[in-house]
Amino acid sequence: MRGGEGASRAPVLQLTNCRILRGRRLLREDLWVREGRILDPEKLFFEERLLADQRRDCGGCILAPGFIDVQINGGFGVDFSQATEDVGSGVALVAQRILSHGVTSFCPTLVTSPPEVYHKVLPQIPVKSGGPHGAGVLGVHLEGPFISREKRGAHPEAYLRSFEANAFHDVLATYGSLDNVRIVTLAPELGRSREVIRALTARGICVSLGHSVADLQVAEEAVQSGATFITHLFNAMLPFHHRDPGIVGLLTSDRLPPGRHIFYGMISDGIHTNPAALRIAHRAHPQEEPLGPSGGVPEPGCPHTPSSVPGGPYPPPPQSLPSLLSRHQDPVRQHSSDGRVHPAFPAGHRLQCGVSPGGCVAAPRPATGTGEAQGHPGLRG
Amino acid sequence: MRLVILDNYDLASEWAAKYICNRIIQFKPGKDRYFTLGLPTGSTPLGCYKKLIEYHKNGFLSFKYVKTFNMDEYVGLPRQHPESYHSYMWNNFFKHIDIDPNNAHILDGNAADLQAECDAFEDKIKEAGGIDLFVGGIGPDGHIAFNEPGSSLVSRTRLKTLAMDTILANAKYFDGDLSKVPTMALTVGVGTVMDAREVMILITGAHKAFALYKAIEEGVNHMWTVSAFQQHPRTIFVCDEDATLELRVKTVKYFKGEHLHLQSNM
Repeated sequence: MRGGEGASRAPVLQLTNCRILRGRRLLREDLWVREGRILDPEKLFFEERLLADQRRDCGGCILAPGFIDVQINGGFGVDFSQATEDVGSGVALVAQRILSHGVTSFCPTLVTSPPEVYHKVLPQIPVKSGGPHGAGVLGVHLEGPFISREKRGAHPEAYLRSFEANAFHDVLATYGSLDNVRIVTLAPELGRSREVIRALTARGICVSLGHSVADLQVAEEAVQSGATFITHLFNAMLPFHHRDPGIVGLLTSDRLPPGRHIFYGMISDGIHTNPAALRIAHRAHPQEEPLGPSGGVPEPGCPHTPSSVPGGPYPPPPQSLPSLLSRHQDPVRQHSSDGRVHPAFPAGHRLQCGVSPGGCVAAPRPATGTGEAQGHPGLRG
Repeated sequence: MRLVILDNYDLASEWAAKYICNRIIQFKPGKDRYFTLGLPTGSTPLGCYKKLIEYHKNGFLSFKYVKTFNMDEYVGLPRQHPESYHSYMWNNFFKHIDIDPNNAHILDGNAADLQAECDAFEDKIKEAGGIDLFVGGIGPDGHIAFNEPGSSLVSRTRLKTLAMDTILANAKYFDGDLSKVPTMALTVGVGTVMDAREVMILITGAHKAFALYKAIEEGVNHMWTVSAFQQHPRTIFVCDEDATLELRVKTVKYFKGEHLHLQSNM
């Protein structure tokens, strides 16, 4: 099989009889891999003059980049917002169990909590590479406590905070260390939010707008300060209004910094949003694919686990992922978008040559801050 | 020559593919005995390549002991450009078969010394023992490979400037933008193809009919370089009905063998 010389060379694996997601389409193409990196087979043929050393028949399956869940509060009995002595085991359990749902990286999400909880929990959730043992931990998503009282949803009112007094210092005091933090959801109408957004963005943290009553102008200013994401679009924010579209209007705003893209998550379980809303969002901005937080997936993904949220347990979303897929007219796109896709992945995002296929296959998106391909999907600034 | 006329493009492609397949199998290639094949690009041979791939996937045909030499390549187009002939051959043929990459030869249109590249190509053909079967097409201007009208009929592999007809014909592969079409190419010479032990020219479609007429019913002429093969001992022209539209009825009937039916009825 081998065309060239050198028996000590790493073997080339050719995955055949499969469909790969490429250029926003599902193509009948083989996938070539060597030492955990995707190869350009044409280059391999003409430059290195090699054939595959091993072939594996994929039985017609789709090979897609692993999903990345950017908003998951726990699951399988685990609640990330609970300050226990062994948060790590809970994270590991969830990491392992979500693999079978196609998720290969995630951001454990903490809801609004008192500072003691953050100080205790955050150091116990380090960034960690994924593997057969479980999905990789990209960093924590802090949803709150700097959110709107009116739009707090199921977040506990007692622990809401503002950073009006000391801006970024308040943020640091509340959370403790930001070392393991990847995303912060905040309400931009809070005083001094622009300062805070700039400070967080400067540290490579993705700022997301959510749980907010901001109007479009405030939202645009937040984006100009560095915000790049919207947490569960439509939910916990003002509804779209034709005279002031609010945060939703960011999808079609013409006041964004040039070249900046806005990404958004949506809970597309059919309960938190109507599928028509998902389609409207998608059609308004087809380049940016919606990401579904775990709320759209059967078991592991209730955005708020019953134990942490007063007001009673939330029923698990009834739709399974396959039925979600069949609802949407464009199942190919939804393959990557219903299952909580990373913001750095446009739908149909590419399997890029030179990249580890293990779930971190993003082509860097400048908006979210150019993630480099190997293992660092582009949330980093 | 042999003139093989099939009803339509698909049948012509299949006939050509079967011929190539049988030639390779009958040759019984092996470790010390490679079958050498000259190969074309363009829209005409696509059906033939598809069929060859089918035979390979069905287990009838292996390219393990086959060496290939492509006819030409654009100059100055990056190898990975979707319209380069490297890309064409990879996507339409090589990636579906079991040929050894070291045995698939295509001219490098980005070589530092283009003439040296051409000379080296001729040497490689010689080292391989010459070409057993050279498969080619015909341009609307009657060219073989990129041997444009006026090319020497004894030419060898070299750099050629493309004729306007060719550039126009290729524009469809470059978004219809003439400025994007390469104007030069490296090509095997007419003489290079004439050296092959056997030549098969695929010609399909009404737009090629006039060129076919010029190539086989008129004289040998450097303005219609395919006409050179009138002087080759073993050439087959494989075409569909549309490609015969400019030929004399007598020619077509002869090669279809229709007059023979009359004989047997008498």
